[in-house]
Amino acid sequence: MPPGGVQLQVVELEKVKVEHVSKSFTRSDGRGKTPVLQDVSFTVNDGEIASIIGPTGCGKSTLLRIIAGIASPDSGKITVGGKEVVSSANPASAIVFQAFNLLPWRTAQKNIEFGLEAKGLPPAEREKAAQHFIDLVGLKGYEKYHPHELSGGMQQRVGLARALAIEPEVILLDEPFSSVDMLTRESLQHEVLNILMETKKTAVFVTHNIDEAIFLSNRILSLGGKPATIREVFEVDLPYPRNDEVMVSQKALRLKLDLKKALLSSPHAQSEDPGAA
Amino acid sequence: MLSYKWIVRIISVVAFVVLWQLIGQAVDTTLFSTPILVASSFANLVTQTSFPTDLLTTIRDFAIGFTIAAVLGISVGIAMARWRTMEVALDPYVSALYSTPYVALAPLFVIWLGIGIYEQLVVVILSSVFVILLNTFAGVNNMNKSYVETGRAFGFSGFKLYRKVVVPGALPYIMTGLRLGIGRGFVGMIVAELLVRLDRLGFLMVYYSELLEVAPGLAIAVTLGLLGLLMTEALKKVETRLAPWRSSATGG
Ligand SMILES: Nc1ncnc2c1ncn2[C@@H]1O[C@H](COP(=O)(O)OP(=O)(O)OP(=O)(O)O)[C@@H](O)[C@H]1O
Ligand SMILES: [Mg+2]
Repeated sequence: MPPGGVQLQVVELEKVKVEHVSKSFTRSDGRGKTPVLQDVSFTVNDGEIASIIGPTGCGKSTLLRIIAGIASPDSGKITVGGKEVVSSANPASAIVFQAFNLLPWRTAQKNIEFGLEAKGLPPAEREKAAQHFIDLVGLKGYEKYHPHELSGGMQQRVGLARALAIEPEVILLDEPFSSVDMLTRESLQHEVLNILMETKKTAVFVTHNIDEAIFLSNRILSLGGKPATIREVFEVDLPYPRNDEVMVSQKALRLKLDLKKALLSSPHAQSEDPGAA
Repeated sequence: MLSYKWIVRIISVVAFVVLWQLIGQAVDTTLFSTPILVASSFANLVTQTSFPTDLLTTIRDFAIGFTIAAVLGISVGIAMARWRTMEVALDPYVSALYSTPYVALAPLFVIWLGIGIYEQLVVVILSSVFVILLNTFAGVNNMNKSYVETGRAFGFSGFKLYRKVVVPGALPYIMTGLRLGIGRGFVGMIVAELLVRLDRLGFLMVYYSELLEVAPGLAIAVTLGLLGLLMTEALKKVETRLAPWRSSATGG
């Protein structure tokens, strides 16, 4: 952990820029379109750790996919690291999927090496990098296991290691700690935060968990509505590391309440759309 | 170390052979033959007929034909899944040709190509290529969408995406196609031998059967059966290596 009382080293430089992004999905029964995102705009500066919170089904994963370049918006523009995101070939960012998305024919280690293969790294270097991140996420001894032989939490950590391994400028994390127990969760949060701060990476987390958002990020975006848009932005003016003392400070508790209100005031996406998951 | 599976298999084979021997002796050795008679005619076949060279030619022709069918079926199957135009253009032919019994056309192949390796290759290829193609096509189309999404997200595209993601993802289906293709191709080839070419193992088998020489006929049939078994087992081994997440369920 960095010494107490530190802040993120944020450079006033827009690392991720989302401008007027809208997205709707054609319904599978062909009866029109469901708008999911409506005119979403925000920026994340270099070195910032931003969190997106919002009720289930409001479009958080969709937004992250669009930023990663694997889904295209109906309108609007995404810029990552100064370059417009047009297709998936966007090595500046890496994504940790909510559903892990491991490749079942690869071992844990080979899954972690996956992104490095695309970069054309020689095998010896790939192995070395993979080993480092296997240790980091606590999967030593499971290198040769296939995903179906790993627990959900282990698979999630493989997905996390795979994204970290390519050392992207921007890392997009979709509820990356959702499937592990509380203690593992806390230690992973610390580890990931350490990496992000030491390497001055830019990160966008998606989370349901208000405490997690406060613990990790310096800015929290509340996504909500139907179709969803950015409703509120909260600056998290708390020093890192956010130990228990910081987390129960007056400021932190105030913020927690505000965030809770923001979440509650957002109409629940599922109430209107029974198909939402 | 023998696994449970192999112990059961060996016992079952031994029991079958013993039972056959007893029944054959008790009822009629000329009509039903016995394992001992079959074994001795096998020895005769090997030492005194063209059986060994025929067997090798059959294996060679099949291996060449099946390799061509596999390469063709897999690549065209992938191409059809990749390009909608390809699919629309080729689909009617594939659907129509899929269910054509090519052996029935073997006389035509002989007229066009003469009796030789080419007409056999054509029978093997046509008998097996479509089932491989259709399975590959289905494999790519039914593949979990998240694989390709993941490949793209981590910077794969074009040919590399196919090599690293699409082909391994579709492998369980491709393997099924290959397995079915082996069966169809092999049967097609043997039937062409016995119906049209009137030579090699297929013909030899019918020849002995019609002379009521049951033992050599059965010796050939058993050889062909073992050959089929061998190929299927080899393919299963490959599948266990390449697609361990699928075969794990069956304990392969
Ligand atoms: N590929 C798709 N096709 C059609 N509709 C989709 C698709 N992906 C998402 N949706 C719809 O878009 C909406 C938002 O989905 P999304 O996965 O982005 O939600 P989310 O905020 O990540 O939810 P959660 O918190 O539960 O993960 C949902 O109503 C969902 O039904
Ligand atoms: Mg989601």
